[in-house]
Amino acid sequence: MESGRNYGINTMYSSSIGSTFTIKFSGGMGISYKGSVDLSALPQDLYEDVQTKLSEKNLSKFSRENRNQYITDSVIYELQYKDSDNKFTIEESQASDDFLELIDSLRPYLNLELK
Amino acid sequence: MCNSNHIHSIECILPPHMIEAINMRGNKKMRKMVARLIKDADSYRQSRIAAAPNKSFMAAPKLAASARPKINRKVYNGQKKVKLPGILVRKEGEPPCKDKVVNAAYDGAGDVYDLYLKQYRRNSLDGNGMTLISTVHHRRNYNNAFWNGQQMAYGDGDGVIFTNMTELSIVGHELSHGVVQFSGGLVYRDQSGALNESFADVFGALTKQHKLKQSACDADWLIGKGILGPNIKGVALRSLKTPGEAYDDQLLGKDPQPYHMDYYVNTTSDNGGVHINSGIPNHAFYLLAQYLGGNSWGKAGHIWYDTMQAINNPYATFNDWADKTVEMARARFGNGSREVIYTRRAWNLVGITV
Repeated sequence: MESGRNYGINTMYSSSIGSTFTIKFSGGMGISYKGSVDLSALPQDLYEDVQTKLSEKNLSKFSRENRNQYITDSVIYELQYKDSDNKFTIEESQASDDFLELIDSLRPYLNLELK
Repeated sequence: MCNSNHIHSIECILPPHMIEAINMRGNKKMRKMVARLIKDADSYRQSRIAAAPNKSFMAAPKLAASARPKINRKVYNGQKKVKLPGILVRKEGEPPCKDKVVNAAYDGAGDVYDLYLKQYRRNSLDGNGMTLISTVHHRRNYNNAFWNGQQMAYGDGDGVIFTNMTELSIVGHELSHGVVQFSGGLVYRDQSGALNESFADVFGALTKQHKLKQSACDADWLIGKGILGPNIKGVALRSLKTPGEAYDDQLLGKDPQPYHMDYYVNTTSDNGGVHINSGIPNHAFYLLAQYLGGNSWGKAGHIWYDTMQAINNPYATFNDWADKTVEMARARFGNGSREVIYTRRAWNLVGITV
């Protein structure tokens, strides 16, 4: 999804996360890539973290109010749930520490998709 | 979602005389609609004002030839956490430590400082001796480096897509974003954002060439050479010499940079293609440097640096920038000089007529 200039929560939510979701990384230093996370492959504590933190009611907690206007090369994250139109797009400087730490934890379990 | 692009298009479609006519002759519903559009347009204008760089950040003072300023660097270990800056591990004057990444960030910041001081008489990013703060080992598996308005942050990469992020042209690139910020700024979206990216790429490349004492024809003109993961098919993040040819890989796709306005990419992603369309001004600089020969940080670098100090337009387009480069070449080298002729020619070759 191309969300335009208003990065932040600009999405619709569903009641459950499902079994798989994808994360697209763009912005940054100009490289974009995408991968999927199979929730059943996550360790129990991370699985529970994802189920709780990425649930519909908690997504809004990831966003800070103001984007840092001076930041350059920041990453834009886009989460998409499988079998759903739900998407969550957020720019790095608007994301809470909790969200960024969760993304970092998921990286080893990300199955990168070919283009 | 009704985003700011949409509002902007409404603002353009309905000129003031039409709004006036609807207010005078339209029914209640139409008048209400117009009132809403005006409110939206005001909100859009406010967001543009908020996005514009702080006006107090204007061109940096040029240092007197006799001045002997001192560099001040601090490097922090982010300990793979999100919070910045982390723990201070090396500050100015201290010997190298065991961590090579810390030393690369420290030395790289010094090389950038040297380029701006020795060639352009600029005392650090703000022209006033600002401390160069870097955090290395930022976050876990973090495939990025950035400038946040106050400091640098470098990830270690995930070992698959990226590895070492403290390569010299990357350090030069990121710190040059700071120079842009303290030179009046270029709003980080669309063409002004691509110019911001391009300035950072050009001076990232010049940092490396200056350090290696390379001429324009000897340099590789790559940004981020060697930072891609071991199985990624590519040589670097970007190439000023051959935009669009830096990588072509199954995971990352093909380098999307154009080298000519005919291939300009209209997109809303990547802040309006700031890392994509920067290929066009990047290549114009490369061509100019080749035409002029010698060291790129000399005549070509001075034209670009002077332009950054003089442009004073945070929403500058490629044409605005190109016009200003010709003006700066004329001011520095004289009307009808080869520098002016080659500056025009370089822009013409990438599809921008000046």
